[in-house]
Amino acid sequence: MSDRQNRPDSRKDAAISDLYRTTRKEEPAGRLDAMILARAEVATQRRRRRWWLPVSSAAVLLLGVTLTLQLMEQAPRLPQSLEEVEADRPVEAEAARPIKKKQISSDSAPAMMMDSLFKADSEARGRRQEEAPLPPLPSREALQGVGPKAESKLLEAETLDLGIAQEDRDPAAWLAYIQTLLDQGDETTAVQELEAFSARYPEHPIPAKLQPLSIE
Amino acid sequence: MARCRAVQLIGLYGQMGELTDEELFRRFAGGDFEAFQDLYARYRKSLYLYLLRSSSSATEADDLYQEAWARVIQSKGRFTGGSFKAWVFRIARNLQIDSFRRQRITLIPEPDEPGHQPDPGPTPDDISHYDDCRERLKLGLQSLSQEQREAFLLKEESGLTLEQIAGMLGVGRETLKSRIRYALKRLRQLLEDCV
Repeated sequence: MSDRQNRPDSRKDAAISDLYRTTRKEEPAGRLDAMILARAEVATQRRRRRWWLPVSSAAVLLLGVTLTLQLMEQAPRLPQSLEEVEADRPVEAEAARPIKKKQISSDSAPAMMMDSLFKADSEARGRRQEEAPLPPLPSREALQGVGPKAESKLLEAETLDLGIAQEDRDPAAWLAYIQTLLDQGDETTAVQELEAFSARYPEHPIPAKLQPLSIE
Repeated sequence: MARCRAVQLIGLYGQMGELTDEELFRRFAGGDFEAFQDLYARYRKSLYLYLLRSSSSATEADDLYQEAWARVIQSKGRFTGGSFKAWVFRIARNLQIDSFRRQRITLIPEPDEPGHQPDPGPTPDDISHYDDCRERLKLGLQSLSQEQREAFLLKEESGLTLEQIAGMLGVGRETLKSRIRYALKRLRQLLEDCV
């Protein structure tokens, strides 16, 4: 009895489902589709941008760290060795300004090395000011725009000035230093240096600009 | 213009037809817009009809439909798995419930109470009997209790299994079947001359 009663009900239920499906004609309006899709598109674009942001940041950071490490590998050598030289050098000897050469690749010296040099020079200069006044080094402003060649010369001159042994001096760098002294008006020291140079390198030609000093 | 663009975008449906909903959604979460288009095309109509049939007006259905998809888009990082279909219909259902609460509408008339019979409205003489049945069915759905209506609509529109629907509604499978049975009984009464 129950089965017989349920069977027509089941048929009717299926008919209701079928009828319901025929009512499925409405669709969301086109503007709704457009708004939803536009929102999703914006969300995916944001997502893409978010993906690139950390990658580009990491790349920039990596580049920065690499460059810094490279600079630090080059730059610390000089100040460190200068401190050692300064520490080892006796006061008397310092007064006589013995010079011990440290090999420097001045052509590749970056700006950071320049900073270190200026700093080290400033400290050394402060300590030695009363004992043996040195000719002032050209100011940083004076170096602005003179090009890498001039900077290179200055570095050599500074290296000599900060205590490099005479016997180890590079002739060209030594002459550049003498030229710097002359340019700065410290003719006396320049003459002394030129004499020392001539004694160390008697065969080395003297540049025309320095020849008047040797005559004196 | 907007409609043309939407139709054009929806026309892309089928390019990734073999992928599951979950895979499409995973791709969308990874920034693939086309995956979303495909997914949207799959659920566009069924989700809209579910909301339309269970809402008090087409305007409300439009709002809820838009909000449901907005939540899907916003929640793309929070979908942890399971059935996308069940998830998206659950979002729609929750919005529907919130909407009811906001409007403080009681849509649970006693089935046998004559005072709560929906107004079938004027039926033009020139519409066919079949069209009349369809209109009466739509109105009949509105006359169901909220629980019966959502059970019937989820069964018809979502394509979910009874177990999935029961899980979504937080009831047992037998309870769900009972609600569907009552809904159909009521509709049979209303559409006696149609089915």
